[in-house]
Amino acid sequence: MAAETKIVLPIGLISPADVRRLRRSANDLADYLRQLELKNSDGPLPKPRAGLLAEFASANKLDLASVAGCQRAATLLTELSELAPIIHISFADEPSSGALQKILGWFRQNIHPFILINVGLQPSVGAGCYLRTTNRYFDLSLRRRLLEHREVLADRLLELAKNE
Amino acid sequence: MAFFIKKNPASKNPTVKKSADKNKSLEMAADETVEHIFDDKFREELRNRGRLHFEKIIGENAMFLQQDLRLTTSQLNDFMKSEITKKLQEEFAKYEQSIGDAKQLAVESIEKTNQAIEQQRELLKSQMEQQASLQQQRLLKNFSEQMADIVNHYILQTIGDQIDLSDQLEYILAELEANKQAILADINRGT
Repeated sequence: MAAETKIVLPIGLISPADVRRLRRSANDLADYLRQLELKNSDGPLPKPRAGLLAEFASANKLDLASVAGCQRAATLLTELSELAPIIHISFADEPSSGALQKILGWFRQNIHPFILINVGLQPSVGAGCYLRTTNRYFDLSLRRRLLEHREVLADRLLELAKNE
Repeated sequence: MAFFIKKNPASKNPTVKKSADKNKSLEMAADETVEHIFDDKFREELRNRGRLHFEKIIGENAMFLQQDLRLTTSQLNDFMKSEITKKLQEEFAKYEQSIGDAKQLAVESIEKTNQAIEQQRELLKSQMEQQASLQQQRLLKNFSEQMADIVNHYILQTIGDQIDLSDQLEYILAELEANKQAILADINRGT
């Protein structure tokens, strides 16, 4: 399906909220350009945006200076919001964008090219993260790792107790 | 002597009378002779000799009596001694028996008490060991169950501020890699 739609997502496009925001921006820009055309005015064209929409347009070879390009962008983003699988990841703290982009990169490279991430905060996670997909929940925290290796710690404590 | 001669009432004839007179005269003569022989001096001597003899007999008897008395006293002493000793020994034996019985009773009582105390101690020890074991097992179980949380909490409290997501990235990516197939399967199923 990803191959059919041929959408390229910039790494900065992370969450469904980002998609909605970009689509709204694309629609706003298309309306603005359409209004300029209707006025037949040679009004100032919007400056090329250096933001996420510009990245998206550049990645998908879209011209944001035209109404068609903006509409195409909005269409792609609508398709994307319908097609993209969404996962939810909870961290103990607000993740840095670099770290989040690396995680997102892994997902798009290994799981699905359109995947979008909702980031949540869960202080009880400690280290690691909780991952929730459509139907499953993955505990990728250090706590779960410690629980799995509880016997090692217990054995070590028992050894210490015996030595005393 | 004159008191012992009885006159025969049948001698009333002259022969008999003559004879009686003769006897009477003889008696009188004898009395005179006796008076002559047993004069006061002789009597006094006889009395003295009799007194001495009596004193000697009295003395001898007193000596015998003293000897008898001493012997009797000695025998009495021995008897008393032996009786008292025997009685005392019997009493002491009874006393010792009583003391022994009392001691035996006391020892048995103490042994019973000791046994009861020992049983109670063993019971208490067993209960305490059981309680301690249960408590220990409970604590170990709780600790074992909570150990991951404890260590996790400890790590977060001690170095939590120094670990940001960048430091955890390698771990998270490794965990994602480990769960890749499951994630992939669920994503494909859901889309």
